Amino acid sequence: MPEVLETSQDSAAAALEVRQLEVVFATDASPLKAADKVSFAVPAGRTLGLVGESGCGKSVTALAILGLVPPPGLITGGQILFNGDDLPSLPERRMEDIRGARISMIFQEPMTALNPVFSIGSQVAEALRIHRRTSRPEAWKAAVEMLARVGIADAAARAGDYPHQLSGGMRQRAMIAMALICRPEVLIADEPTTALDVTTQAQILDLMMAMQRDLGLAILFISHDLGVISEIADEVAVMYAGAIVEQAPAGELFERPLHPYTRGLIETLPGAGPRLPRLAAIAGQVPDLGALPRGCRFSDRCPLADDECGASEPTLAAAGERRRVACWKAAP
Amino acid sequence: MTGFLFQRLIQSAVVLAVMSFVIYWLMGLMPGDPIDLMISADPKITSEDAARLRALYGLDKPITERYLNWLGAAVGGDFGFSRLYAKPVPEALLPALANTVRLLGITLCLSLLIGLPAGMAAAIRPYSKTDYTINLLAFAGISLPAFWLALLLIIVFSVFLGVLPAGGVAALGGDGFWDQAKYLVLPVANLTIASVGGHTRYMRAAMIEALRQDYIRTARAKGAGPARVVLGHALRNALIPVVTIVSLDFGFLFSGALITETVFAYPGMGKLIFDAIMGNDYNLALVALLFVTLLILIGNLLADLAYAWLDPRISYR
Repeated sequence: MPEVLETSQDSAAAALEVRQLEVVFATDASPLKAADKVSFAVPAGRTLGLVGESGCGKSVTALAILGLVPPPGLITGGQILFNGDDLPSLPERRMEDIRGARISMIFQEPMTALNPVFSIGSQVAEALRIHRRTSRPEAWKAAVEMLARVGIADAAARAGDYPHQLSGGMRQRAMIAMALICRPEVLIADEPTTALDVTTQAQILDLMMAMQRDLGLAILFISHDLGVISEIADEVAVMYAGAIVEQAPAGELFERPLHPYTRGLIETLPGAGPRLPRLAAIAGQVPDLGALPRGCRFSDRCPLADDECGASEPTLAAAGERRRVACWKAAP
Repeated sequence: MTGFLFQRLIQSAVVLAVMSFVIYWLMGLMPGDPIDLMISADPKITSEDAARLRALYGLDKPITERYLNWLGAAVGGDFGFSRLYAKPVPEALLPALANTVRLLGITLCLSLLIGLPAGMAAAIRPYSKTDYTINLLAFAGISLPAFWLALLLIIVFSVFLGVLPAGGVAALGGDGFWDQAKYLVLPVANLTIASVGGHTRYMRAAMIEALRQDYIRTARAKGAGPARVVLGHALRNALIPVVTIVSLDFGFLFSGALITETVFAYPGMGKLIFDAIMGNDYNLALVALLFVTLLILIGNLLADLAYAWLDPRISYR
């Protein structure tokens, strides 16, 4: 099987394209590969869901796009193409111009992700003032408008509130306002609904989809929750132990998962799919990145694994027209 | 807010009243009294004379009664007479207080002006060469004994180089600003070297903690440059713990620095309190210690107000 470098979409239409990205954390023991040859593209106006268990490398991939991988992490290979530029090779000053203006990010826990000592209005206005020549009162006015637009009632008064005075949902709305006030092309959402209760979750997802329609946003939506992913994503990439193991349009992935790991994940959704016997492997843990099994990285948990799987690692290969899977046992 | 202030003022008054009794009682427990000192100074005083003097000064009465007498006079504004200085207590106290405020005020400003930026510089790149250098200097300052450093400064700058006076506050007739300023250089240097390390270490720790927070990542994700991240987002959060330390310094600012003041023969509060206690000068020691207590209480109150100003999550009702 040939290794597929091109993603399933036409890369020319992609707002953001990640090619063969490698992120390594230098540790005292051995270097850990948190992202291993990760490739995907997010077209404008569409949503790519990046799904996987905790520690599989989703967040590191997202932070790598913005050049914010915390030390001792380092991008050691691959490209991140945005607007004709390879982001990791840009100088820090140019990255600062891109962050928050053209590629924005929102985070899981809006309580800790917002600065506790500044009002939400000033934090939203700051995002604008960093990137555009705006006077303080103008920026404040724009921030209030943006807060109203993301559904904060009585925004003019709420803008003066501090993060601790707002509910979790309101805080996440403020985060979204902050991320979108400069009208970026790409929004990276790292578990944006995980800390919220279910009704608020649905509201935030609706808001994100509405903003996507308005602004033509390309969204990279990271979650461990397949239920949330199924609601918002057009296309889904499943990540396991630092590598993408399967990628497919959302509908096809949920209907007919090819990788045993994806199947296991879908099985864990309550009330989903035919009642197959639950995969024992999914009860295990994501392996230590420093001690991946030989061959396929899922082989020690996979019910279908045989000698071939333990001998060599399957590469991510085309499986049908718009699908890719990295599995020796996946039926084409 | 006014309710909070009112409550704190009442609390402070209660603490002050309790402390005044505790200090009074502790001093009563000290061996000897002013009359004993008179006897040792004048062998012709008989024990009958001593008993009469004790009765005259009320020293033969039980301690609670003496305390209440003192309290009544103090509330009326009469703080008594300093035996040691042969002056009313306020007149003995104020010059020492002025000297100490000048010495320690300059020291605190210098120490903060050096320590806070140094701590920030160290925190921006933890475990870098800059950080190690700053830490080494900070620990050196913390570890040097003040009396030893003071002697070293005197030997180098007064004895060998002869450029600065070894002690005192002014030469006779030297009333100009520079005439007096040069007497402050060595004691200020000594105290600054002793305290700047602590301020650096506190600022470094608070800043490293602040820079680790999620909101710093958010600030960077919205395109903030390093200066905005550190000075705009991290500093305000990092200052909250630092304010505690500085407010504690506020009490220290008025209580003096006994060792430095002694080595440099600098007539400040530390030396005054020490001499007053050694000389059984009850009135002076009592008022000086109570005054320090009061200023520590004020320092704590200022710290609480600064918290509320820095951190909107803290509000007082």
